[in-house]
Amino acid sequence: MSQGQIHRFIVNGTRLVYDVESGSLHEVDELTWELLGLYPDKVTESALEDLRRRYSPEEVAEAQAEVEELIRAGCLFSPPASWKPVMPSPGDPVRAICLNVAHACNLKCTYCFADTGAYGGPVMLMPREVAFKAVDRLIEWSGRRPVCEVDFFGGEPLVNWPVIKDTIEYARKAGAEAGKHFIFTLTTNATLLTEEIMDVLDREQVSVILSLDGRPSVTDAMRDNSAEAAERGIRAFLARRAPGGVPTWEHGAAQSAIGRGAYAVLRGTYTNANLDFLEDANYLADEIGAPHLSLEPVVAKPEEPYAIREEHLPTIFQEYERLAADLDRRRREGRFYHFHHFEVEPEGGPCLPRRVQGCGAGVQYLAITPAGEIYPCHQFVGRERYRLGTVWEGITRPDLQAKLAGCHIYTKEGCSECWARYLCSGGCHANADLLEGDIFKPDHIGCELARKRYECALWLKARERADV
Amino acid sequence: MGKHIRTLIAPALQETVKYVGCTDCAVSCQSACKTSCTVGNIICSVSTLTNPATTQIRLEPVVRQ
Repeated sequence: MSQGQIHRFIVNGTRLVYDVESGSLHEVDELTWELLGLYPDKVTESALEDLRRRYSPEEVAEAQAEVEELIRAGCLFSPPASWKPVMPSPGDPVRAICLNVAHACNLKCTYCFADTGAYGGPVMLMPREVAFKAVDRLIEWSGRRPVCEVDFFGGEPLVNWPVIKDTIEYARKAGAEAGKHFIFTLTTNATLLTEEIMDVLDREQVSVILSLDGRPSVTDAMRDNSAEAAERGIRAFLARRAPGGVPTWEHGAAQSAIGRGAYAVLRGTYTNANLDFLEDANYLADEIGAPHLSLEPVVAKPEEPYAIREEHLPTIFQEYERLAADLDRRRREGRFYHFHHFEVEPEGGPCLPRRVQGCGAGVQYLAITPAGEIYPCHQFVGRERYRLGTVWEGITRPDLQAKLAGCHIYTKEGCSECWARYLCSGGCHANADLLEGDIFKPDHIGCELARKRYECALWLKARERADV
Repeated sequence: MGKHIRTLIAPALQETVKYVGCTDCAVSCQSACKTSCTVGNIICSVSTLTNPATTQIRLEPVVRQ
């Protein structure tokens, strides 16, 4: 028997089998489902006899032959690749920086991981010289990479719009001199969008992540009663980027080198107060007109009143299946929208080396505070022990950078055995640190949610393929 | 197509180790809190896999030496 691994799961009544190492996906009948439950170690004569009694000897023989054929073809229990994994290491080219241009926000959202914008520190806007120096560092540290990415983040980045505008101009000029192409993203609550700002975002092809949680009552409850103002800004922006709900871009969830056009995607958060979040997803798609959206589980310690806790998981799992079924129905009716957490690219996705490397936080990706401090990513900002250095001094904590580089699916607790390891890359370091106290211990509730989302995503893919 | 098993996707992920992980694909955020882009939904520009959509935008692949 090979040393491979399969994952059997049922979504909306469909029995599916995912072969972890090859990425193959199969729909199986009840007999094969049971038979595969015996593999690899329990395929005994008495177990087979039990199946023959309940089905028929002929059927069991047929199913067994099909399983064996797929094992030989490398689509079931396929062995791991024979290779020495290429892992991130200090000195890797930096791919992207997150510029926290504003440690300030015009909203006071209840669940804000950034402590309503200031990350536990003073309210501060990033000066031009810090932003420009960060761009210089990105060019310097990006090595031979031809593409550099800058993410404008906050707080609410638009409260420091003049610096964003000037930084784009500076990066374009400095990039041209260095032979680098810059791409930009901006995450905003949309309440401060103006025609002038939107004109620049369009002209500079800045991709935008717009924050809205769903139904107005849901948004208002957590996002400082901002639904009306946010919706106004979002509708105006989507009228440019997705008129009539039709996106003007390609690959909204996966830009970089293959992107076509700047995207505008909606991003919301769900908490234990709206576990019926299918209604929110549909509101964002049908009432707001978003063709691409996501709703993420709130990241919060369990003692927070709005946190997702173990007790909520069964309800959330049911809701994910309901959402998947609704999306499948919409696809058939021509009313589909892209729910990013249900988007997997089993055939056009990244190579295995990329899948095992994770997000590259602290090595390939860095976050910069308004004071010029460097953190592994935007979520680590304010956790002093994760400060890597400054844009002026460079990386002063190579030990920390090496630790982050060494944190991946082969070293994180439980990842080596998890069937979803090539889909999630070991999860979020910052969440692991926040919720488990150790970047090497994945957030266990986050893992449960991610696995369920991948099951639903694979089910949707299976439904799509079954119709071809 | 078998009577008991319907294979829907068969990408042979192991074969992609010949690529170096050039990282030209999108930056991912595994918490997806910012870009909604996790490694699961990234599309590879030098796809070694079989999606026809990606072959249309294929760039020069970087192969392990």
